[in-house]
Amino acid sequence: MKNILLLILLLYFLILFQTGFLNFLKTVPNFVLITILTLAIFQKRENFNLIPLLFGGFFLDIFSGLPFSVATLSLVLVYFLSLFLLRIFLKINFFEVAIIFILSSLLYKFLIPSFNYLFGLISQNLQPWQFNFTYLTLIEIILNLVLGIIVFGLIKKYGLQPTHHPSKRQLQPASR
Amino acid sequence: MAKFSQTKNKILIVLIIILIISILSFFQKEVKNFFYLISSPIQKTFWQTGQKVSDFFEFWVKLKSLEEKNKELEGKNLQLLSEMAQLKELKKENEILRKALELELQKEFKLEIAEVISRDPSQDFILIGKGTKDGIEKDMAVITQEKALCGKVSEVYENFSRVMLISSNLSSFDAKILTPKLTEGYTLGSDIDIYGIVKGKGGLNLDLTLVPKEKEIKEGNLVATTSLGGIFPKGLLVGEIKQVKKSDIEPFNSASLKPLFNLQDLKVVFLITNF
Repeated sequence: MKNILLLILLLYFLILFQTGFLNFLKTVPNFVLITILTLAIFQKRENFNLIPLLFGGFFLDIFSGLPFSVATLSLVLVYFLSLFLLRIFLKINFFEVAIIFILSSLLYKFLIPSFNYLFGLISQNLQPWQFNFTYLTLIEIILNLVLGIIVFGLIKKYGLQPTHHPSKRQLQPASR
Repeated sequence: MAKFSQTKNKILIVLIIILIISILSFFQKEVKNFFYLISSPIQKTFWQTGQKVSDFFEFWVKLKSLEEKNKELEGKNLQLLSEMAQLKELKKENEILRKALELELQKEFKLEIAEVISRDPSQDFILIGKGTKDGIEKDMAVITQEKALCGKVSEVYENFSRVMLISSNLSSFDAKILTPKLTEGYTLGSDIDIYGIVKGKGGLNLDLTLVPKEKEIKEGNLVATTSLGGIFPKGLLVGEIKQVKKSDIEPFNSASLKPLFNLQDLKVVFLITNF
């Protein structure tokens, strides 16, 4: 419980840092996304991540100009994608972590305008669906990737090992 | 059996949280206002520290080009002084003519000053420290100290407002291209009317589209608002043409614009409450 509270506080601090301190950058890394993906990679009990995940999304929603729950839903889907990728990979090394960060950041960037459009349809306040893959999107993905890899390396260095969630097929002995 | 119960618990937790979020979304204005209120002291500190860090690095990066720019500005200053003297004469003449024709002088805008609190993660929104309590309403135009257009109010809370910058993907409005006659020479005269649409591209980028092919626009031309959309008062500076894009296939010309506000330097903004 104490860990969850600390994580929520960390996420709150990170979102304030992202929206306040880094105002001089044209694009900023998504610290909440990086934290949630790192949790998915290292955390053993999946249900433990659920509360920080939802709080992370909630903070992103609070500090964004998007309709409520757009960021939460996007973050939840990205989290499930990362869990799916973790099940596919036989081992979790820097290369696999890089794939998780790149695909998750891309999906997140795609889901935000999609849910925004969907919510606009529901609330009859239609917003155009706009997913522009510009150089800034690319820089943001690279920043997420670099920071994610650094955090992964640091945590691994201090003794924690990434959790492998093998699929049923991977658990079965090889048949002749 | 234990596994089934565990899955059931997980589903239950997810459902409860979704329910809480759905309920909160009905009160999102109040919830957001509450969080902004408790976060604003930290965010203000972060924003100011970030600006100081940015200024520090900018100073070292720009040190080399500073001397060159200084010389260039000195030259420009002399040119402007002579033009100012000319303008003073013209102003006098204009005032006399206005009186003679009993024309109403242009009214100044009613402005409300607001502090910038934070920038949105989706990047083209800012949060300012004035809300419904201070008489702020949706769609009010937001400008800088130099009267350059920043954006418009997109959401209003009790103590805060969210401003959609003109560079947001969702922003688009009519604009007029100021011809060299007016922008470079600062002389009075009838300028050619060239209109276009300013569209936000995200990431603090702007595009000018739907410019008729037969009208010539150049790099360095200034773009200002028109009163066509009804949201912005006319004559507010929007940006400077950075690059003209001409295509034989497209029916119109377009250009990329450089906004005239600098997000890093924005400490306060002004809201036009009446025009």
